[in-house]
Amino acid sequence: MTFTEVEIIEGYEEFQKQIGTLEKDASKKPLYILFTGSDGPDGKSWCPDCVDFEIVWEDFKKKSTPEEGCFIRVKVGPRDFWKDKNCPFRTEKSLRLTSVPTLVKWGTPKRLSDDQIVNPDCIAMLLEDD
Amino acid sequence: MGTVVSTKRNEIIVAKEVLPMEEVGSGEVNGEIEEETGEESFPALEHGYNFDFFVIGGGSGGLAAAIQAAKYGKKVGLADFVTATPSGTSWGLGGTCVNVGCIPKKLMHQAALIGQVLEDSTHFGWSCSEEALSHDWNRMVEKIKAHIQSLNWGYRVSLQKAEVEYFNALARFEDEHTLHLVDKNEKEVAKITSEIFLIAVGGRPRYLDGVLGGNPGEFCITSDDIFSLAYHPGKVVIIGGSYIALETAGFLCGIGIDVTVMVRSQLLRGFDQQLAEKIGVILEKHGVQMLRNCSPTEITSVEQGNPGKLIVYGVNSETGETMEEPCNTVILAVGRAPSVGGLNLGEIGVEVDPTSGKIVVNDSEQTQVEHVYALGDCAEGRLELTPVAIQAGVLLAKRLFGGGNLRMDYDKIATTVFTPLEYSCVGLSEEEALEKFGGDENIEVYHVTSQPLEFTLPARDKESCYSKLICVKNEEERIVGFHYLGPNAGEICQGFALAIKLNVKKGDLDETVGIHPTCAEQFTTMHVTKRSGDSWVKTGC
Repeated sequence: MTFTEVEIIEGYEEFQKQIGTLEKDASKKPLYILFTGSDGPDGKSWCPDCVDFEIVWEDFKKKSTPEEGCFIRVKVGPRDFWKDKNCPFRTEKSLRLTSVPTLVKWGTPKRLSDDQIVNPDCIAMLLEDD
Repeated sequence: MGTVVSTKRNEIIVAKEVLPMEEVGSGEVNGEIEEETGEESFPALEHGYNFDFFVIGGGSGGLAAAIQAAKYGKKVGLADFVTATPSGTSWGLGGTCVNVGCIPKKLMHQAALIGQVLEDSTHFGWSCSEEALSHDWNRMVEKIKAHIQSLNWGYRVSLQKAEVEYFNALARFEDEHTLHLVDKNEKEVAKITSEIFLIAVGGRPRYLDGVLGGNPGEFCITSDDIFSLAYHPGKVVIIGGSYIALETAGFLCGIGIDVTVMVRSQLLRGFDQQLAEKIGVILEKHGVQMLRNCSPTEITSVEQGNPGKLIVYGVNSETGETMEEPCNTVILAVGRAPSVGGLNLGEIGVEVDPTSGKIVVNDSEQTQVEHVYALGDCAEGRLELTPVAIQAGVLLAKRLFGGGNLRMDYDKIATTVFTPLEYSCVGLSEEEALEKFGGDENIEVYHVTSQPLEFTLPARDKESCYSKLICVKNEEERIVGFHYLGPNAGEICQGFALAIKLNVKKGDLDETVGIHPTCAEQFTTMHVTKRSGDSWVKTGC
């Protein structure tokens, strides 16, 4: 078993298309999904908290990484698309995101956002085996 | 728990396992080893212990106290461990209320209430097909389980954010400042010391051993199992007359399950008995078979399975008549026992009540050992209620670390029994009031029976709702007991609980203008006393 961190999914339609396949792929379990603001013209996310999280995450990985599973970044789109309160990432029943960045262990209640997501101990707890 | 992430804490745990225990925390090891054994993580504080405050039990009271103490910058630890039931049920952080109590109970009660609404809906013009009235046990259980797991996770995160050190481990005192923490594989994960301890381990359902043959739990489940039961329970026999027994009977019956309740003597011991009997009648009207004065003598298994087939044999204590009740699931609801057995309390001098098994505490939650406190369901003489434990826990932490001096007021605490018609009360039962105020001539009891407007069209629960106020005559009719049986009892009672706590008098309620049309408004217009013998059935709009 290995831990991979390669997949980037851009936008809601692409996410809907891929999530079913990803869920079924045993080699990618558990799925860790980071929902984050899409990149702007400068190649950086429009969402400053998402940029901050990437720094925390890079730092975190220097100390420890999961032994198995797959880490996926889902880009929720440009700022205007996300800020719309009818944004499908906010309304879809299995997602119901309230902020970005949000990190979830897919298919479990484990989810971190806001000030929890930049707390390395909370990240470790989310990545922990149950 | 498999060590997937090589976090710092896991390294500590691994390191501790290879060291002889005497060395850990003895202070005699040199600096280098100390670092490896995790002494760096739990360094001795100024007072010489690893923690300022260590809480045993991650239920409502323990979590509240731990998080409150951490707010004052104290080094706080918390250990929680769930021993699986005889049928293998286990759960996460949060204690009884979240996992096997209030939360799943209220949700299943809601499932039953929704069934009533669906039934009633045709009287309000809705068309409801037969299909819409079927109920899927497994789907309900899965949804409730998912909600509970998100609460478990929420508690983990809030402990982490508060920087409370969490151990999923069973605690045992070695001496009055030292605790062994053992994981589910009976491996020692840590040995810690703390200046102050709080015991908030709660309780678990009792089993009827001896009487029924077989091992405890061989044929019976309890409230610890029913909320996550992975199969439809089939026909159910509930043994006991406690609120847990009656609530369970109510929601199971409400989702279409055939339920029999076997009660040895009283219903709802400790509650107002007039109301308790009314609840019994309502349950029967709703289709629950109530076997009164009946004790189980034996349970036999006819066929194994999920569910299997069982026969409960019983005897009527008044007539001597024996009975047998075939069923698929037997739920014991014969009381709860405090989970203090493994703590080694005798060794450190914490006194336990010989009858209840609960920890003896003073009015500051303090045990016989000065720096060891206890609260919640494991403390002697305390109401077994979540908000009581939370309040006591927060106030204790404030007194210990925040300069507070407020003690928990255990008087006039409202509670609700979530039977099909809910029952809420605050203050004294009629029996208690008669005893306390020296007989019938010193108290005045006002009462009224009514039917909620929303029950009129479907003609539901006619003349079942009941309200009662118990007043002290020579104290300007100060209200010392408030009782309400009807829909939304908890929501109605909460506000009145404040009034009762502030010593409201009957006249104050009379001067209050009601909200029409509600069930609560009748408390502003009650005029029939029990003494008068007049009709107490409310008519009109």
